[in-house]
Amino acid sequence: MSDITIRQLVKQYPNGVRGVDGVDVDVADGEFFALLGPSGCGKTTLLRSIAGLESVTEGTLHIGVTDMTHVEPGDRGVAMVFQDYALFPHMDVSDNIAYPLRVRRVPKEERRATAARTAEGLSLGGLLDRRPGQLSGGQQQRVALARAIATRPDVLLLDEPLSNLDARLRLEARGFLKELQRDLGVTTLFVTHDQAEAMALADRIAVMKDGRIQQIGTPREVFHSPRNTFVASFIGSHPMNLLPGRASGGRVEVLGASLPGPRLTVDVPDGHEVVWGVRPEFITWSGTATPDSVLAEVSLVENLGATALVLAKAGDARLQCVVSEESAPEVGQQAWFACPVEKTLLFDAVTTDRIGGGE
Amino acid sequence: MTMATRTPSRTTSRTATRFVGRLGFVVFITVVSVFFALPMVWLVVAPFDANPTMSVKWPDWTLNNFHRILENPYAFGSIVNSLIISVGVVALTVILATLAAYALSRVRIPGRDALLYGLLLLSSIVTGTAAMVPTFQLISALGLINTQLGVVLVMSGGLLPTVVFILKDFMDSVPKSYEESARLYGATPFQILRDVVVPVARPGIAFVAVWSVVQAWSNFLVPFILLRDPTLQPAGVLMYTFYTEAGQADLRLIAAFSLVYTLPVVVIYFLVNRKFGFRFYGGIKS
Repeated sequence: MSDITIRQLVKQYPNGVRGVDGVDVDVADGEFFALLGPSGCGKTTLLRSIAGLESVTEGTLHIGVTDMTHVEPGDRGVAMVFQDYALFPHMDVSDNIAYPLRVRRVPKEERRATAARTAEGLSLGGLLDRRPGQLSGGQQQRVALARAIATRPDVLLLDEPLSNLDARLRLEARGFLKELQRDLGVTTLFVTHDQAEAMALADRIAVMKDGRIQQIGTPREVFHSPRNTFVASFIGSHPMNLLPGRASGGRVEVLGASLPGPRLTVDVPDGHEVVWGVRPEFITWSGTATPDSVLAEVSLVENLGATALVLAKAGDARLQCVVSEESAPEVGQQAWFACPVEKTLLFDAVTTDRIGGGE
Repeated sequence: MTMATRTPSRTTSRTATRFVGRLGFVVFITVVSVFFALPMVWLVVAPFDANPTMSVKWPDWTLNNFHRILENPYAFGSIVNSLIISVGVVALTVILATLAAYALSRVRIPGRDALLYGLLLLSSIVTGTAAMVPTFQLISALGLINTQLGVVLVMSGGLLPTVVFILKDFMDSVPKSYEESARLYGATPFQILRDVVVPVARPGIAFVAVWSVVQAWSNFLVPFILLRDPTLQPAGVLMYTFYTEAGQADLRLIAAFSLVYTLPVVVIYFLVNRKFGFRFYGGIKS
């Protein structure tokens, strides 16, 4: 079993800055787990701490039942693919893949056989004699992956695995990576700042900010039930509408209208300041007045292909919604915007924690 | 100003000025080139002249001068001595400097850069002539006077600061992720150095190796001070003893020997350049 248990992990730099600040994470055996957050949130530091490349200031790290907190990187059974792939430029593909085996003093014949077999599995068959400099970005990434999995690690760590690929290749590599992880069944952690990547690949996501975990959950949980406004705004290809409002008798006063409020998980008094949140994808519009809706003027329509992004203004507040391209409103038009109450989220305006809605 | 607004006379005078300027430049370059080329021409031509003088002239072709080298009892041995000393210096310098440069490149210690600059500065001021007496006393105290080991140690000591300084720069440019990657596979620091850092920094190492050979090969002062026995002396020092019976500098022997003395360095340079190439491996965007 190679599940990962992290308890109260702290990484403090000599200048007093805490890159990772009291993190608890449990990753199940064979799970594909994403560390997601904006740059500087400590996700890479956490990954490097698991690899052993950063020393841990406080807390513990277990892989399986073994305490790995202060074990040398090479003895952790962990393999890592670096953001720049870190392929050795003076070795050909075969030697690169076989290097971990060379360190372990595996005989040369066996090394070459393992390298050839691993390369074949990642469709690198004809490239064994090439140098990394002669490979495309996608091929380099597969060589780096091959090198990482050639030793059958217990844990695979990926640092921004797709960030060095161009957009089209990225989609292809995403599918490839997901399949590979499922075939190998290896516990995998990857770091990304791209929420779409995390949503598409991961079984579970840990959203991080300022060295702390904001929420851990499945892609569905972080999307539909974000724990606070940070997670709500970070997840989703279009940022969530987060607008200030007031709770009043089970309803919410927002955008100059009174809308039905979701079921609250915390009792709040009437007039309590809240943040009303709805994803743009769930908002619908109508050209005629409808109950429980907001009147706003359409100020911008962006065509996104099959859908259109509509920006509407109600007073100073802005509302975004994504609608089907065929049914997009006209710019300058007055429209009534409504959203289903089960998709409405409420957050406390002060603590930013979610107090209502969600699944 | 455009062509259309120029009057013909102005254009002519401008062209003339430009021509004179150009001519002056060419003459200057020629004089400078000849000044530097003359010793080279002498080096190539004089060995084949039956009666070489201090000036460059069309030679009276002969190969007899090279026979004189074979007749000299110490000449061949001195070339071997030069090789022994140079190889010793290069081996010691490159091995020690590689280890030191890697450590200095990777380990953060306070005052590291000050230490490097200090060493570099001191080594370029306080070598050779200024340190002659203390060097002699030190080697004498070590009992290494009149040994090639003593010469190798003193020369390596003189070269090390500069070589460490240059190599550290090359090692700084090796991406950290290469080493971290090797570390994750369980490689020891020595394995990382051998398998990753040294191969990637190879152009730099080849450069300092050639540079050290040239320095050791052409060094006169250190072996001159430390070696008494002519059977141990390198070529550069031996040449100093080439006099005729009349007490004149034996130009025929010196000319021929100079050429023989120069050739190995030129050959080494081309060999190393072909084998290692002074080129760089690049990582990808990081």
